[in-house]
Amino acid sequence: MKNFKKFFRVYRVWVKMVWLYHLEYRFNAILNSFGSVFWLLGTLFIYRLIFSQVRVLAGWRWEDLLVLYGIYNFWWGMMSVFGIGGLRIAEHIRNGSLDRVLLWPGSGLFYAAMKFEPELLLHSFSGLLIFFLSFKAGGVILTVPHIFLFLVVLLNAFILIFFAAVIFGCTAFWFTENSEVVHFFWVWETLAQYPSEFFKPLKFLSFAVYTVIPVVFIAALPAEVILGKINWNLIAGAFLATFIFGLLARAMWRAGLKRHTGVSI
Amino acid sequence: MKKYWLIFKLTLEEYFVYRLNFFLWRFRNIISFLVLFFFWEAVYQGKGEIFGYQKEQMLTYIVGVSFLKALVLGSGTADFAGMIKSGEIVGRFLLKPWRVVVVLFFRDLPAKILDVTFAFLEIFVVARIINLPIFWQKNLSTLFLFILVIATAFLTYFAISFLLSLIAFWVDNVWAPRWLFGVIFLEFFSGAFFPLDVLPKTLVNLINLTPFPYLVYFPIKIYLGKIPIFDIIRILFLMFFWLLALFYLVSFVWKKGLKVYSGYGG
Repeated sequence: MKNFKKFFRVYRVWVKMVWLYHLEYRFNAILNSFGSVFWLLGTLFIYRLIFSQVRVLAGWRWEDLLVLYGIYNFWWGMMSVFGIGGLRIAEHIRNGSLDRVLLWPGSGLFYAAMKFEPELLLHSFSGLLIFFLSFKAGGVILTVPHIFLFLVVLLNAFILIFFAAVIFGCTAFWFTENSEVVHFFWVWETLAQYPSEFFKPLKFLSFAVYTVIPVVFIAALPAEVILGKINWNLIAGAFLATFIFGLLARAMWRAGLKRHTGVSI
Repeated sequence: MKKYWLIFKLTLEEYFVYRLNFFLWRFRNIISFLVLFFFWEAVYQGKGEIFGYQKEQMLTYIVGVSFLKALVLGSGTADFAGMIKSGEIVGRFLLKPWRVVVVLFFRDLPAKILDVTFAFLEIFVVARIINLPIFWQKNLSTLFLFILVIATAFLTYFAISFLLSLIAFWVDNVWAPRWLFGVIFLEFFSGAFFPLDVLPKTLVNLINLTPFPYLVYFPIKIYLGKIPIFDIIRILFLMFFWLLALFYLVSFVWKKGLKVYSGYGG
């Protein structure tokens, strides 16, 4: 508890510094926000065009896909702002700044994985707006148990991907150059915006989206929950995946620190 | 000329230094291609034609996009902005007896050759595994014009990317403008996600006023045989116009940039 308090105090100061940095480059921040929202709306426009020609896409109606898309973009925005800091571990290792972070009071892992990028908040809010607009289109079940289960599954998705990012970031302890590991993570993570049925034609990919980085649990599973398609096996699998990834992340972090020699700055 | 070929050779060797990195680079390209393929497979489920494209034509379009993204889109000039900010261009380029644009071009060539070679192999292997129906253009004159068009597209993208990096002479942080114009607008308006003719005609006419559709969309349409020979020649002239205009702009902006540049850290 004490460590958490220390961490949040340091995080609060760090967030303030990051805000000031981004306010210094206001034009950049505005362009970045605008760019990500343009991307979001552009992709939505393409989906709408496609649905003017088809009624279902991999078994998902337009209304259902809107829910999935909204959840994915809200999640992506939030993770990009706060959550996928685990990938920054690789930067710290390469720059030699990990030693400085390890000397801070509390858990070195959380400090190394600290992240805050306010420019993508607008993207997150846009995703949330699309999600709320999808309520109008119909299909969403808004009972208390469904909402509660939806929130729990969504929170689980945040924690799962945080651990996955730590695992990928920690590969820098063993590989001198792991920039492609980070790029691979980002490319793989984009699979979360599609329903799992998309990947069924190729068995290995279908298996991998449940195991390698279980992107199916990020947006598709919460979307299915709020749409009333509850699969308890999948939900249990999601929590199990988070537990396993949490153990792996911890193990890799500790093993990595043991072999870390660090050229400090 | 020997020094530029040496740069080419050393850059090519760099790609094989970190083998895991190389393998993951190729693997993620395969994943990106597969995702796009499965997306359009799902769209065409139970349908023969959508947006005027048969399934085989659309899937060939997707294959073409993957191939052209490797060949045309992506350039080492994207890193040039960082070199301007850090002052690295002083020691690495300005004080050395070579032309900056030529050096950057010869640094790009190995990446393109590797990308295209492996993209071709990967697409071929994946196509055999998933029984991908691909349209093979057999008309030699169309193929010749297609090669000419993609060579021009490659140089056009090189100029656009370099131009975006030169903003760093005046702006502290170039990442956002590059991201917006060089990635988002470019990927949407070049036809890298979908054929542009699925969009409303007014929007298509507006997009055709930019150089972006000539990077991916028009080359693939030419390959698919959807554009008559005379229109291909007209497109080529337009592309040459854009190429000349962009390289003139690059030269102008480069000279202006050097006048205001202080090279701190160089």
